[in-house]
Amino acid sequence: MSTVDTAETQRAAQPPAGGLMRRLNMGTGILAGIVFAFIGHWVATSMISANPDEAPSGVQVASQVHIITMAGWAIGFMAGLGAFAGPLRWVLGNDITHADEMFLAGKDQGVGRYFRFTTDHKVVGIQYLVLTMTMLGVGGTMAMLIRTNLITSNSGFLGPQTYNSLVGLHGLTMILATIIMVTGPFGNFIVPIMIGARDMAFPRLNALSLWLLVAMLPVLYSAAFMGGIPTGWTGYTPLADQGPGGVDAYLMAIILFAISTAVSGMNITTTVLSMRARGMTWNRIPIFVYGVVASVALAIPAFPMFMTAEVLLGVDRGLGGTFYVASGGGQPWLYQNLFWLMGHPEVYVIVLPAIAALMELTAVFARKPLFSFNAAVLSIAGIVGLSVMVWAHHMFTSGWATALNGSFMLTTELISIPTGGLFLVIVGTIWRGRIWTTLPMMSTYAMLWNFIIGGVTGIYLSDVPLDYALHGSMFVTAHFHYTLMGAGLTGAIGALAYWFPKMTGRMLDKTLGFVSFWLVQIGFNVTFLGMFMVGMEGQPRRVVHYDSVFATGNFISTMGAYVIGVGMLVLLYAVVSSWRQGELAPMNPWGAKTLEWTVPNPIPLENFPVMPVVTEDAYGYGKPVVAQPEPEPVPVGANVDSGTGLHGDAVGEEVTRSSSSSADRGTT
Amino acid sequence: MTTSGPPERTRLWSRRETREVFILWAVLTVLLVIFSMTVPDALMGVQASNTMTAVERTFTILSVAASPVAALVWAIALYSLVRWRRNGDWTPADEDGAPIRGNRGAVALWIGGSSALCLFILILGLAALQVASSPSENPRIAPAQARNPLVVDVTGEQWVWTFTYPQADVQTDQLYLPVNRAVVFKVTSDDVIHSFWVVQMGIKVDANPGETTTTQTYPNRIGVYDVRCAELCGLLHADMETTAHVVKQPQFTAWLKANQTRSK
Amino acid sequence: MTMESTLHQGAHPLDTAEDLGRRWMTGALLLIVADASFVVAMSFTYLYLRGVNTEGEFHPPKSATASLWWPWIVTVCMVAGFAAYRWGLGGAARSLRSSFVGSASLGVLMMVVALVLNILQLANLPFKIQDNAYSSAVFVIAAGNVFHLLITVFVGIGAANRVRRGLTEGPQMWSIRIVGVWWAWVCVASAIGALTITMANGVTG
Repeated sequence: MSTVDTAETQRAAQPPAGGLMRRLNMGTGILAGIVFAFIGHWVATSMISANPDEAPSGVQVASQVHIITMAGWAIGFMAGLGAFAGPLRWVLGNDITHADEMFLAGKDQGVGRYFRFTTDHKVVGIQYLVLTMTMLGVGGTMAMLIRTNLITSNSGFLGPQTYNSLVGLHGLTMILATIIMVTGPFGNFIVPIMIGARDMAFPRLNALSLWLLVAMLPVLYSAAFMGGIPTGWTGYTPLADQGPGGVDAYLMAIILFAISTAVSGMNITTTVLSMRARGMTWNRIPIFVYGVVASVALAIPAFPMFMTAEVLLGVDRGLGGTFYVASGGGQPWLYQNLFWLMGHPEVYVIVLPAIAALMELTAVFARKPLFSFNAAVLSIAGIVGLSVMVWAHHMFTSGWATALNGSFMLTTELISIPTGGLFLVIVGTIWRGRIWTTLPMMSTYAMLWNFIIGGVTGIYLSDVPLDYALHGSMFVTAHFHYTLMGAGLTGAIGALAYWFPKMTGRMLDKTLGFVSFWLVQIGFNVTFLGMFMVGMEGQPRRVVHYDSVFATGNFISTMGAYVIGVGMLVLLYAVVSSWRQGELAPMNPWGAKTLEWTVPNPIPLENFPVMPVVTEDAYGYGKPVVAQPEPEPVPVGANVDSGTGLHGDAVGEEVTRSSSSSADRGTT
Repeated sequence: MTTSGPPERTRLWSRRETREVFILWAVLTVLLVIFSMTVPDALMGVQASNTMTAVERTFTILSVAASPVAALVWAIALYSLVRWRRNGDWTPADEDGAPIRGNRGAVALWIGGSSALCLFILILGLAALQVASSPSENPRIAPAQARNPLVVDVTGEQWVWTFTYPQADVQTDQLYLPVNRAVVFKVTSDDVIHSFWVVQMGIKVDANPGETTTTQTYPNRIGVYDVRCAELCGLLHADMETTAHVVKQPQFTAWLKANQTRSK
Repeated sequence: MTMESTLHQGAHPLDTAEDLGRRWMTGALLLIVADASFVVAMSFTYLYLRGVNTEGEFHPPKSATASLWWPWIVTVCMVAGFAAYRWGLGGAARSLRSSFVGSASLGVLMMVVALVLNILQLANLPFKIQDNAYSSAVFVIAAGNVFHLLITVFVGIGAANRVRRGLTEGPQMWSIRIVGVWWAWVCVASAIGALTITMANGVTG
């Protein structure tokens, strides 16, 4: 992975005086995490819950031990990684020096910086990318197991215990992975460059949000060894109250994830609010940035609700609280409300940035300005606004506040108007374009197909009487896979293919990319159209075996799932092989006009040798052709940068005056 | 948003692509409408109650209403792939597409159209919700003699359903219902959340511990139907199913009597 | 996107202290939004459970009721601490370093007192967390306040120490201002918690 390396620079002038902080990395983090976990375990077993038999009723001593051990791991891991060095030194008044900041940003560290608490947003973006792909791979493998089990009506491939656990783990893994799959890699890597910033507003918090997720992974997958998450990803109580130790892992993982999301949401939002280049006014910000900000800003108030729900679940399990226990005056509907208050905005947290990425690249590959930028922004804003008022449509059949079902149906169906606006923008951009059918552009087309199906089936489910018939069936499963996978994941793959040259410095293999695209899209539609079929026939979700009348549809689904699996493996191979030895990418292979394509490959440490000044938006395609002045190489001399000494050789890169068709084919 | 200017707009309907997309759109719409009128009904199968009849009708109407929207998006997408696709890779010397930054007419038409559709499905849904909430009071479907509904208490526990007929003091694990009489289910749970679902009757409501929820329907077809649990409820969730028998009133009375004596 | 490359140093400024201050204030406010979502969710939990009163067991008539003195005294302590800190901020603006250190230390001291009182409150509640949903909710609301207080004491000590060492002079003032904003928020949060308990206390069942 030599390609994203920052520009070579000479060693920092100051001696490496950072002391302990500079010796910390992932290894010390794991070490400290294990030590703290053992301490936590010892404290929990020997002091708090000395005698399980004397514990008050409702208290699950094992839960206490699990939760404290896992908290110990997380705190130890973050401490061992050096995540707390910044705040501690702030309190002591011993501020991090400039040399320290450069060290933390990963200056001159080669591959090692990917395994440290590195603050450079490009490193964090790559870390997010690898993390997301790992999670998607794990979740996808689980999906293959689930579909294999459902290949016949009673295959016996998996027992009910294993099956239920796998369904929960698959769901949670995929939800968490898809939440971060666009705003993590591309929001961190691309957005700061896109708005002309040197880094994120809070680089250390950026690293914190990434490493919290790394700390979360062992916690989440420890569930597999503690009875799994046999509650589905929703973890409805009181089933979760009586669940095995895996539920403790579930709730701790979500608490860690919610903290990470809040931190990263606040970071990205602040970056866009306060660090845009000069001249980057609100109507010149690329639409992708709007999508990312909408997503993360929506997550800021939404995820703490989820966290509350899980903290209360932890109190119920570990301390014997009765928040969700009906006999103690608690109420399972409380959990559902808190859960879906997060859960529906979360759907848009996933989908909005993916569709915004597709809008961004559609303009590039149709060689046309984005159709009605205002409509795009207003649609995103409308979706964000409405999404917090629709949560109870997940609870139509729950019996909670049936009198309100009509009003929740109203708000839900109103969302179809701004969602239609998103389609209008993309379709309008394609209209009379000059379509360059690259892999990213094909993703846009796939999204147009998939998301129409996902959206229309969503309207069925928003209709209360129809929902009474369809809720809890495979129809719902198929519907949300069409939105989250058909639109969300397809958009993320499109974004990956689009920004791959900038993130890795190499081109993604075209042939393999197309092979995987067709395999995944065909497999996807076969799988989930089959699932619609069995859902309408009446197969419930999350069943380990089913009535033989559903056999045909399930067999079709399983076959489709295998095709997706093969397609994803091809994609994985394409990404890995292209990353290692793909064709070197020019600076701007797509002729795009956003700022990230004006920085050289590899991108220097603080992105811009000269801070850009923006004079128009990024969609100036198809201007009447006038005589193009030759791109004027601007000598960027030593006078640019006397103060920081950060830019090294990158200073020698030329900054071009790029306009419509003179986009540079690269300087590397 | 900048409009494309009057000359552009006047030419819109005389453009080749407009006409061709329109034809493609019409064809796709017709195909989708045919699909909507046939497939959902076939898949959703038997209508064992007037609730289910309404459900399938709503499904079809919504599908038909969505057809032109889906057809329009897909028609433009398909057309652009055929007509406006570039041969080979882009090079910096290539000409760009037309610099259309928006079109007020198109945006207004789109927003207006989708709002109208949204309003339509909303009214449809609210009307259907009204019927679903009180099927026995719908004079068109339910005869007057069925006003006095049968009450069934449904209790879910891991992993069986229990049906109690409070009016007759009968408890059973298979649901028996008389045909052409409104029935009200009062649903609760002894442990975790279950969801009471009579598949072919199109009704579903969660069984919550500590709460009683209600659903009602009007079975109008004799037969044997499926009762399933639609909310993951633990290890044997998949096995938590039983059957619902809809029989003629005399048979139902006889069944009640037989089970009463057995329980005493 | 058209760029104009500008060569002079002005196009490449380092972030000024004011920039940093604005940025941190934005970030702090957003984090407060996230935290507020948590506090509101807890308040909602309490009021919702009380409203539903499942099986009449939310707070059965004969079960113990939490004293209202504790949460309000804790809140008053916190507000007093905030007032002291706020007063110190005025001094700091006039470069009265020692005045700020004194009043910020007083503020931190008040917060420590509030922390001790809060822990005493938790230890002395007349019921166990397992008793009913009411007792569970009161416990969690109080425990949430402990968490807030710990963070505030941490940043309060930091602010005092940094002023003492002269790290927040002039344009660097923003860091202690932000501590003040956080401080004000935890007071509000504590008041919301106390108000939640008050609104429902005693009239339940």
